[in-house]
Amino acid sequence: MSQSFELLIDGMIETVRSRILPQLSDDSVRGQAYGVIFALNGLKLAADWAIAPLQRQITLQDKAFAEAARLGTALDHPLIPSVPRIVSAIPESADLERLRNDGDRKLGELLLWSSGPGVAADPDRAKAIQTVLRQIICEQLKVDISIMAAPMFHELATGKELGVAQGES
Amino acid sequence: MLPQVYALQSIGNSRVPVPRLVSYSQEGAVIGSPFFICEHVAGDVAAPWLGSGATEEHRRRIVMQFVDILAELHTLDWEDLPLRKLLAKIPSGERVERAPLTEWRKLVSRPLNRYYPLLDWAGQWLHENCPTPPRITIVHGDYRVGNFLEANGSITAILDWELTHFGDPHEDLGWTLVPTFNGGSRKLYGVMERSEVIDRYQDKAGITLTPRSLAYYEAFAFYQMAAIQICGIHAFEVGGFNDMRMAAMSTQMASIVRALDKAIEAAA
Repeated sequence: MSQSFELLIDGMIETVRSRILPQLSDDSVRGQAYGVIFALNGLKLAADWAIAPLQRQITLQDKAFAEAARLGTALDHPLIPSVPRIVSAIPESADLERLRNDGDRKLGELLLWSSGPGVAADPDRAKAIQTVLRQIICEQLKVDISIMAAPMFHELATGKELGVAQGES
Repeated sequence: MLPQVYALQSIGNSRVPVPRLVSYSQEGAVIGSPFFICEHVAGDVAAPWLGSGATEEHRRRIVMQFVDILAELHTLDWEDLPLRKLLAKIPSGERVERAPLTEWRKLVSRPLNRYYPLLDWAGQWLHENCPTPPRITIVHGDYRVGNFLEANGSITAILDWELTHFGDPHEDLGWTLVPTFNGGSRKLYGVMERSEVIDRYQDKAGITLTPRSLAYYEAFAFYQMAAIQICGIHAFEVGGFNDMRMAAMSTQMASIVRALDKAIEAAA
Protein backbone atom coordinates (compact mmCIF):
# COMPACT_ATOMS: atom_id res chain seq x y z
CA MET A 1 0.00 0.00 0.00
CA SER A 2 1.35 3.38 -0.96
CA GLN A 3 -0.81 5.81 0.95
CA SER A 4 -0.47 6.62 4.60
CA PHE A 5 -3.18 4.92 6.66
CA GLU A 6 -4.73 8.21 7.75
CA LEU A 7 -4.87 9.61 4.22
CA LEU A 8 -6.56 6.47 2.96
CA ILE A 9 -9.21 6.55 5.71
CA ASP A 10 -9.81 10.26 5.07
CA GLY A 11 -10.26 9.47 1.36
CA MET A 12 -12.79 6.73 2.12
CA ILE A 13 -14.78 9.01 4.40
CA GLU A 14 -14.78 11.80 1.83
CA THR A 15 -15.82 9.37 -0.91
CA VAL A 16 -18.80 8.17 1.10
CA ARG A 17 -19.70 11.75 2.06
CA SER A 18 -19.32 13.47 -1.30
CA ARG A 19 -19.93 10.73 -3.88
CA ILE A 20 -22.17 8.11 -2.32
CA LEU A 21 -24.41 9.94 0.16
CA PRO A 22 -25.71 12.49 -2.41
CA GLN A 23 -26.97 9.55 -4.51
CA LEU A 24 -28.89 7.96 -1.66
CA SER A 25 -32.47 9.03 -0.99
CA ASP A 26 -33.61 6.29 1.39
CA ASP A 27 -33.02 7.52 4.99
CA SER A 28 -32.36 4.00 6.21
CA VAL A 29 -29.67 3.44 3.57
CA ARG A 30 -28.21 6.88 4.33
CA GLY A 31 -28.01 5.81 7.95
CA GLN A 32 -25.96 2.78 6.86
CA ALA A 33 -23.58 5.09 4.99
CA TYR A 34 -23.15 7.27 8.09
CA GLY A 35 -22.50 4.04 10.00
CA VAL A 36 -19.61 3.34 7.62
CA ILE A 37 -18.24 6.88 8.16
CA PHE A 38 -18.50 6.43 11.92
CA ALA A 39 -16.67 3.08 11.76
CA LEU A 40 -13.94 4.58 9.55
CA ASN A 41 -13.45 7.48 11.98
CA GLY A 42 -13.07 4.89 14.73
CA LEU A 43 -10.50 2.96 12.71
CA LYS A 44 -8.55 6.14 12.09
CA LEU A 45 -8.21 6.68 15.82
CA ALA A 46 -7.55 3.09 16.83
CA ALA A 47 -5.75 1.31 13.95
CA ASP A 48 -2.71 1.63 11.71
CA TRP A 49 -0.76 -0.41 9.16
CA ALA A 50 0.32 -3.79 10.51
CA ILE A 51 3.83 -3.56 11.96
CA ALA A 52 5.14 -7.01 10.93
CA PRO A 53 5.25 -6.43 7.12
CA LEU A 54 6.96 -3.07 7.62
CA GLN A 55 9.53 -4.67 9.91
CA ARG A 56 10.16 -7.42 7.35
CA GLN A 57 10.72 -4.81 4.64
CA ILE A 58 13.10 -2.78 6.79
CA THR A 59 15.04 -5.94 7.68
CA LEU A 60 15.38 -6.68 3.95
CA GLN A 61 16.52 -3.12 3.28
CA ASP A 62 19.12 -3.46 6.05
CA LYS A 63 20.34 -6.64 4.37
CA ALA A 64 20.65 -4.74 1.09
CA PHE A 65 22.57 -1.89 2.75
CA ALA A 66 24.95 -4.33 4.46
CA GLU A 67 25.63 -6.16 1.17
CA ALA A 68 26.09 -2.91 -0.75
CA ALA A 69 28.54 -1.66 1.91
CA ARG A 70 30.50 -4.91 1.78
CA LEU A 71 30.67 -5.01 -2.02
CA GLY A 72 31.34 -1.30 -2.33
CA THR A 73 34.22 -1.02 0.12
CA ALA A 74 36.52 1.86 -0.88
CA LEU A 75 34.22 2.93 -3.73
CA ASP A 76 32.85 6.46 -3.79
CA HIS A 77 29.17 5.51 -3.52
CA PRO A 78 26.27 7.41 -1.91
CA LEU A 79 26.17 7.25 1.86
CA ILE A 80 24.89 3.89 3.11
CA PRO A 81 22.94 3.93 6.40
CA SER A 82 24.32 2.00 9.36
CA VAL A 83 22.32 -1.08 10.19
CA PRO A 84 20.22 -2.21 12.00
CA ARG A 85 18.05 0.86 11.73
CA ILE A 86 15.23 -0.24 14.07
CA VAL A 87 16.39 0.71 17.52
CA SER A 88 13.14 0.96 19.49
CA ALA A 89 11.94 -2.22 21.20
CA ILE A 90 8.30 -1.32 20.51
CA PRO A 91 8.31 0.77 17.34
CA GLU A 92 5.35 2.80 16.16
CA SER A 93 3.82 1.92 12.81
CA ALA A 94 4.19 5.49 11.50
CA ASP A 95 7.91 5.50 12.43
CA LEU A 96 8.44 2.19 10.64
CA GLU A 97 6.61 3.46 7.58
CA ARG A 98 8.85 6.53 7.50
CA LEU A 99 11.94 4.37 7.96
CA ARG A 100 10.84 2.02 5.16
CA ASN A 101 10.12 4.95 2.82
CA ASP A 102 13.47 6.61 3.65
CA GLY A 103 15.16 3.25 3.02
CA ASP A 104 13.51 3.00 -0.40
CA ARG A 105 14.83 6.43 -1.36
CA LYS A 106 18.32 5.48 -0.25
CA LEU A 107 18.12 2.22 -2.21
CA GLY A 108 17.06 4.25 -5.24
CA GLU A 109 20.15 6.45 -4.92
CA LEU A 110 22.37 3.39 -4.74
CA LEU A 111 20.68 1.69 -7.69
CA LEU A 112 21.04 4.76 -9.88
CA TRP A 113 24.66 5.08 -8.80
CA SER A 114 25.26 1.42 -9.70
CA SER A 115 24.37 2.03 -13.34
CA GLY A 116 26.01 5.46 -13.58
CA PRO A 117 29.05 6.66 -11.61
CA GLY A 118 29.51 3.19 -10.13
CA VAL A 119 30.15 1.70 -13.55
CA ALA A 120 32.86 4.25 -14.19
CA ALA A 121 34.48 3.44 -10.84
CA ASP A 122 34.38 -0.36 -10.98
CA PRO A 123 31.97 -1.98 -13.45
CA ASP A 124 32.11 -5.48 -11.95
CA ARG A 125 31.47 -4.42 -8.41
CA ALA A 126 28.82 -1.89 -9.50
CA LYS A 127 27.03 -4.69 -11.37
CA ALA A 128 27.27 -6.97 -8.32
CA ILE A 129 25.77 -4.25 -6.13
CA GLN A 130 23.01 -3.63 -8.65
CA THR A 131 22.15 -7.33 -8.81
CA VAL A 132 21.92 -7.73 -5.07
CA LEU A 133 19.89 -4.53 -4.68
CA ARG A 134 17.41 -5.61 -7.36
CA GLN A 135 17.05 -9.05 -5.81
CA ILE A 136 16.40 -7.71 -2.33
CA ILE A 137 14.05 -4.97 -3.54
CA CYS A 138 12.04 -7.68 -5.34
CA GLU A 139 11.88 -9.63 -2.07
CA GLN A 140 10.60 -6.46 -0.44
CA LEU A 141 7.93 -6.15 -3.15
CA LYS A 142 6.88 -9.73 -2.38
CA VAL A 143 6.03 -8.57 1.14
CA ASP A 144 3.73 -5.93 -0.38
CA ILE A 145 2.20 -8.54 -2.67
CA SER A 146 1.60 -10.93 0.24
CA ILE A 147 -0.70 -8.36 1.86
CA MET A 148 -2.40 -7.27 -1.37
CA ALA A 149 -6.13 -7.87 -1.70
CA ALA A 150 -7.32 -9.71 -4.83
CA PRO A 151 -7.76 -7.24 -7.72
CA MET A 152 -11.30 -6.02 -8.45
CA PHE A 153 -10.69 -4.46 -11.89
CA HIS A 154 -14.05 -5.65 -13.17
CA GLU A 155 -15.99 -4.20 -10.25
CA LEU A 156 -14.02 -0.93 -10.31
CA ALA A 157 -14.60 -0.44 -14.02
CA THR A 158 -18.17 -1.64 -14.34
CA GLY A 159 -19.69 -1.14 -10.90
CA LYS A 160 -21.00 -4.71 -11.03
CA GLU A 161 -19.93 -7.61 -8.86
CA LEU A 162 -18.20 -10.38 -10.73
CA GLY A 163 -20.26 -13.55 -10.98
CA VAL A 164 -23.41 -11.95 -9.60
CA ALA A 165 -26.13 -11.60 -12.18
CA GLN A 166 -28.05 -8.34 -12.31
CA GLY A 167 -30.90 -8.30 -9.82
CA GLU A 168 -29.29 -10.90 -7.57
CA SER A 169 -28.24 -9.89 -4.10
CA MET B 1 -7.44 16.03 -26.07
CA LEU B 2 -5.85 17.18 -29.30
CA PRO B 3 -4.08 13.87 -30.02
CA GLN B 4 -7.51 12.18 -30.13
CA VAL B 5 -8.89 14.87 -32.42
CA TYR B 6 -5.90 14.68 -34.76
CA ALA B 7 -6.14 10.88 -34.75
CA LEU B 8 -9.81 10.83 -35.69
CA GLN B 9 -9.20 13.51 -38.34
CA SER B 10 -6.24 11.61 -39.75
CA ILE B 11 -7.44 8.04 -39.63
CA GLY B 12 -11.10 8.51 -40.52
CA ASN B 13 -10.46 7.90 -44.19
CA SER B 14 -8.28 4.84 -43.74
CA ARG B 15 -9.10 1.15 -43.23
CA VAL B 16 -8.58 1.59 -39.49
CA PRO B 17 -12.13 1.84 -38.12
CA VAL B 18 -12.66 4.90 -35.92
CA PRO B 19 -15.74 6.97 -35.02
CA ARG B 20 -16.22 9.99 -37.25
CA LEU B 21 -15.28 13.27 -35.57
CA VAL B 22 -18.33 15.57 -35.38
CA SER B 23 -17.06 18.61 -33.52
CA TYR B 24 -14.39 19.75 -31.07
CA SER B 25 -13.07 22.81 -29.28
CA GLN B 26 -9.74 23.07 -27.51
CA GLU B 27 -10.22 26.61 -26.21
CA GLY B 28 -13.21 25.95 -23.97
CA ALA B 29 -15.21 28.87 -25.34
CA VAL B 30 -18.27 26.70 -26.03
CA ILE B 31 -18.83 24.74 -22.80
CA GLY B 32 -16.09 26.09 -20.56
CA SER B 33 -13.65 23.26 -21.12
CA PRO B 34 -12.12 21.45 -24.09
CA PHE B 35 -14.35 18.82 -25.69
CA PHE B 36 -14.82 16.66 -28.74
CA ILE B 37 -17.86 14.84 -30.07
CA CYS B 38 -17.74 11.80 -32.31
CA GLU B 39 -20.45 9.75 -33.92
CA HIS B 40 -22.05 6.82 -32.12
CA VAL B 41 -20.73 3.47 -33.22
CA ALA B 42 -22.58 0.26 -32.37
CA GLY B 43 -20.74 -2.49 -30.56
CA ASP B 44 -19.68 -3.98 -27.26
CA VAL B 45 -16.40 -3.66 -25.38
CA ALA B 46 -14.61 -6.87 -24.41
CA ALA B 47 -13.45 -6.95 -20.78
CA PRO B 48 -9.67 -7.48 -20.85
CA TRP B 49 -9.27 -8.72 -17.30
CA LEU B 50 -11.75 -11.54 -17.81
CA GLY B 51 -10.77 -12.65 -21.25
CA SER B 52 -14.25 -12.90 -22.66
CA GLY B 53 -17.39 -14.96 -22.40
CA ALA B 54 -17.22 -15.23 -26.18
CA THR B 55 -16.30 -18.54 -27.80
CA GLU B 56 -12.72 -19.22 -28.77
CA GLU B 57 -13.73 -19.22 -32.43
CA HIS B 58 -15.34 -15.79 -32.05
CA ARG B 59 -12.30 -14.39 -30.26
CA ARG B 60 -9.98 -15.74 -32.94
CA ARG B 61 -12.03 -14.01 -35.61
CA ILE B 62 -11.84 -10.76 -33.67
CA VAL B 63 -8.17 -10.99 -32.81
CA MET B 64 -7.15 -11.61 -36.43
CA GLN B 65 -8.87 -8.34 -37.35
CA PHE B 66 -7.26 -6.68 -34.34
CA VAL B 67 -3.77 -7.58 -35.56
CA ASP B 68 -4.58 -6.65 -39.16
CA ILE B 69 -5.87 -3.23 -38.09
CA LEU B 70 -2.68 -2.60 -36.13
CA ALA B 71 -0.63 -3.47 -39.20
CA GLU B 72 -2.80 -1.08 -41.20
CA LEU B 73 -2.27 1.71 -38.65
CA HIS B 74 1.48 1.24 -38.65
CA THR B 75 1.72 1.42 -42.42
CA LEU B 76 -0.30 4.61 -42.85
CA ASP B 77 1.56 7.32 -44.69
CA TRP B 78 1.36 10.07 -42.06
CA GLU B 79 3.49 12.77 -43.64
CA ASP B 80 0.48 14.85 -44.72
CA LEU B 81 -1.94 13.96 -41.95
CA PRO B 82 -3.08 16.32 -39.14
CA LEU B 83 -1.46 13.94 -36.63
CA ARG B 84 1.89 15.16 -37.86
CA LYS B 85 1.39 18.25 -35.67
CA LEU B 86 2.25 16.06 -32.65
CA LEU B 87 5.84 15.91 -33.82
CA ALA B 88 6.20 19.65 -33.20
CA LYS B 89 5.75 19.03 -29.44
CA ILE B 90 8.85 16.85 -29.23
CA PRO B 91 11.83 18.90 -27.98
CA SER B 92 14.62 19.26 -30.50
CA GLY B 93 17.33 16.70 -29.92
CA GLU B 94 14.90 14.20 -28.40
CA ARG B 95 14.56 10.90 -30.23
CA VAL B 96 10.97 10.58 -31.46
CA GLU B 97 10.60 6.99 -30.21
CA ARG B 98 11.90 7.94 -26.77
CA ALA B 99 9.67 10.98 -26.25
CA PRO B 100 6.80 9.01 -24.60
CA LEU B 101 9.22 7.52 -22.06
CA THR B 102 10.50 11.00 -21.24
CA GLU B 103 6.94 12.15 -20.55
CA TRP B 104 6.15 9.12 -18.36
CA ARG B 105 9.40 9.64 -16.42
CA LYS B 106 8.36 13.21 -15.63
CA LEU B 107 5.08 11.93 -14.18
CA VAL B 108 6.78 9.13 -12.25
CA SER B 109 9.33 11.50 -10.71
CA ARG B 110 6.70 13.60 -8.89
CA PRO B 111 7.17 13.13 -5.13
CA LEU B 112 4.66 10.83 -3.44
CA ASN B 113 4.39 9.18 -0.04
CA ARG B 114 5.90 5.95 -1.38
CA TYR B 115 8.92 5.88 -3.66
CA TYR B 116 9.70 2.79 -5.75
CA PRO B 117 13.48 2.53 -6.31
CA LEU B 118 13.18 -0.11 -9.03
CA LEU B 119 10.74 2.06 -10.97
CA ASP B 120 13.11 5.01 -10.90
CA TRP B 121 16.03 2.84 -11.97
CA ALA B 122 13.92 1.16 -14.68
CA GLY B 123 13.12 4.57 -16.19
CA GLN B 124 16.83 5.22 -16.53
CA TRP B 125 17.48 1.75 -17.94
CA LEU B 126 14.75 2.19 -20.54
CA HIS B 127 16.15 5.61 -21.47
CA GLU B 128 19.64 4.22 -22.00
CA ASN B 129 18.58 1.08 -23.85
CA CYS B 130 15.88 2.35 -26.18
CA PRO B 131 16.37 0.53 -29.51
CA THR B 132 16.37 2.11 -32.93
CA PRO B 133 12.94 1.59 -34.53
CA PRO B 134 12.55 -0.20 -37.86
CA ARG B 135 10.61 2.89 -38.93
CA ILE B 136 8.71 5.73 -37.27
CA THR B 137 4.99 5.03 -37.37
CA ILE B 138 1.79 6.24 -35.77
CA VAL B 139 1.55 4.47 -32.39
CA HIS B 140 -1.90 4.13 -30.84
CA GLY B 141 -0.39 4.08 -27.33
CA ASP B 142 -3.16 2.05 -25.67
CA TYR B 143 -3.86 -0.66 -28.25
CA ARG B 144 -5.33 -3.53 -26.26
CA VAL B 145 -8.34 -5.73 -25.75
CA GLY B 146 -10.91 -3.47 -24.12
CA ASN B 147 -10.21 -0.50 -26.37
CA PHE B 148 -12.29 -1.52 -29.36
CA LEU B 149 -15.94 -2.08 -30.13
CA GLU B 150 -17.13 -5.28 -31.76
CA ALA B 151 -20.51 -6.20 -33.23
CA ASN B 152 -21.53 -9.39 -35.02
CA GLY B 153 -18.01 -10.72 -35.18
CA SER B 154 -16.45 -7.55 -36.56
CA ILE B 155 -14.43 -4.77 -34.97
CA THR B 156 -16.47 -1.63 -35.54
CA ALA B 157 -14.15 0.96 -33.97
CA ILE B 158 -10.77 1.34 -32.33
CA LEU B 159 -11.16 3.66 -29.33
CA ASP B 160 -9.14 5.67 -26.80
CA TRP B 161 -6.67 7.58 -28.92
CA GLU B 162 -5.57 10.00 -26.19
CA LEU B 163 -2.09 8.46 -25.95
CA THR B 164 -1.44 8.35 -29.67
CA HIS B 165 1.98 9.54 -30.80
CA PHE B 166 4.78 8.73 -33.20
CA GLY B 167 7.30 6.07 -32.37
CA ASP B 168 8.42 2.47 -32.71
CA PRO B 169 5.70 0.06 -33.92
CA HIS B 170 6.99 -2.52 -31.42
CA GLU B 171 5.52 -0.30 -28.70
CA ASP B 172 1.89 -1.13 -29.55
CA LEU B 173 2.72 -4.84 -29.79
CA GLY B 174 4.52 -4.86 -26.44
CA TRP B 175 1.52 -3.20 -24.81
CA THR B 176 -1.14 -5.36 -26.42
CA LEU B 177 0.62 -8.59 -25.41
CA VAL B 178 0.74 -7.78 -21.68
CA PRO B 179 -1.13 -10.65 -19.95
CA THR B 180 -3.11 -8.17 -17.82
CA PHE B 181 -4.99 -7.15 -20.95
CA ASN B 182 -5.53 -10.72 -22.07
CA GLY B 183 -7.26 -12.31 -19.11
CA GLY B 184 -3.88 -13.20 -17.58
CA SER B 185 -2.88 -15.21 -20.66
CA ARG B 186 0.32 -14.79 -22.68
CA LYS B 187 -1.81 -15.39 -25.77
CA LEU B 188 -3.45 -12.37 -27.39
CA TYR B 189 -7.11 -12.26 -26.29
CA GLY B 190 -6.38 -15.67 -24.76
CA VAL B 191 -6.40 -17.36 -28.17
CA MET B 192 -3.53 -16.26 -30.41
CA GLU B 193 0.02 -17.40 -29.67
CA ARG B 194 2.66 -14.67 -29.67
CA SER B 195 4.51 -16.26 -32.56
CA GLU B 196 1.31 -16.20 -34.60
CA VAL B 197 0.70 -12.54 -33.70
CA ILE B 198 4.21 -11.67 -34.81
CA ASP B 199 4.01 -13.68 -38.05
CA ARG B 200 0.61 -12.29 -38.99
CA TYR B 201 1.62 -8.71 -38.15
CA GLN B 202 4.87 -8.93 -40.12
CA ASP B 203 3.05 -10.44 -43.06
CA LYS B 204 0.37 -7.72 -43.10
CA ALA B 205 2.57 -4.73 -42.22
CA GLY B 206 5.74 -5.69 -44.02
CA ILE B 207 7.64 -4.55 -40.92
CA THR B 208 10.24 -6.93 -39.51
CA LEU B 209 10.02 -7.21 -35.76
CA THR B 210 13.05 -8.02 -33.63
CA PRO B 211 12.92 -10.06 -30.40
CA ARG B 212 15.13 -7.53 -28.62
CA SER B 213 12.87 -4.58 -29.47
CA LEU B 214 9.78 -6.55 -28.56
CA ALA B 215 11.32 -7.51 -25.21
CA TYR B 216 12.28 -3.88 -24.62
CA TYR B 217 8.74 -2.69 -25.32
CA GLU B 218 7.25 -5.38 -23.11
CA ALA B 219 9.35 -3.89 -20.30
CA PHE B 220 8.28 -0.40 -21.40
CA ALA B 221 4.64 -1.59 -21.18
CA PHE B 222 5.05 -2.41 -17.49
CA TYR B 223 6.77 0.94 -16.94
CA GLN B 224 3.86 2.73 -18.62
CA MET B 225 1.40 0.69 -16.58
CA ALA B 226 3.19 1.68 -13.38
CA ALA B 227 3.26 5.32 -14.51
CA ILE B 228 -0.51 5.25 -15.07
CA GLN B 229 -0.97 3.85 -11.56
CA ILE B 230 1.29 6.63 -10.25
CA CYS B 231 -0.98 9.18 -11.91
CA GLY B 232 -3.94 7.65 -10.06
CA ILE B 233 -2.06 7.67 -6.77
CA HIS B 234 -1.00 11.28 -7.36
CA ALA B 235 -4.59 12.31 -8.08
CA PHE B 236 -5.70 10.76 -4.80
CA GLU B 237 -2.75 11.69 -2.61
CA VAL B 238 -1.85 15.15 -3.86
CA GLY B 239 -4.70 16.24 -6.09
CA GLY B 240 -7.36 15.75 -3.43
CA PHE B 241 -9.37 13.68 -5.90
CA ASN B 242 -11.34 11.45 -3.56
CA ASP B 243 -12.03 8.61 -5.94
CA MET B 244 -11.40 5.29 -4.23
CA ARG B 245 -10.63 3.69 -7.58
CA MET B 246 -7.52 5.87 -7.64
CA ALA B 247 -6.53 4.69 -4.15
CA ALA B 248 -7.22 1.09 -5.14
CA MET B 249 -4.77 1.45 -8.01
CA SER B 250 -1.86 1.88 -5.62
CA THR B 251 -2.36 -1.63 -4.29
CA GLN B 252 -1.20 -3.05 -7.63
CA MET B 253 2.10 -1.20 -7.76
CA ALA B 254 4.23 -3.90 -6.15
CA SER B 255 3.21 -6.61 -8.60
CA ILE B 256 3.64 -4.29 -11.59
CA VAL B 257 7.11 -3.14 -10.51
CA ARG B 258 8.15 -6.76 -9.93
CA ALA B 259 6.91 -7.70 -13.40
CA LEU B 260 8.82 -4.70 -14.78
CA ASP B 261 12.05 -5.91 -13.19
CA LYS B 262 11.56 -9.38 -14.69
CA ALA B 263 10.81 -7.88 -18.10
CA ILE B 264 14.00 -5.80 -17.96
CA GLU B 265 15.96 -8.90 -17.05
CA ALA B 266 14.51 -10.59 -20.14
CA ALA B 267 15.27 -7.59 -22.36
CA ALA B 268 18.81 -6.93 -21.09
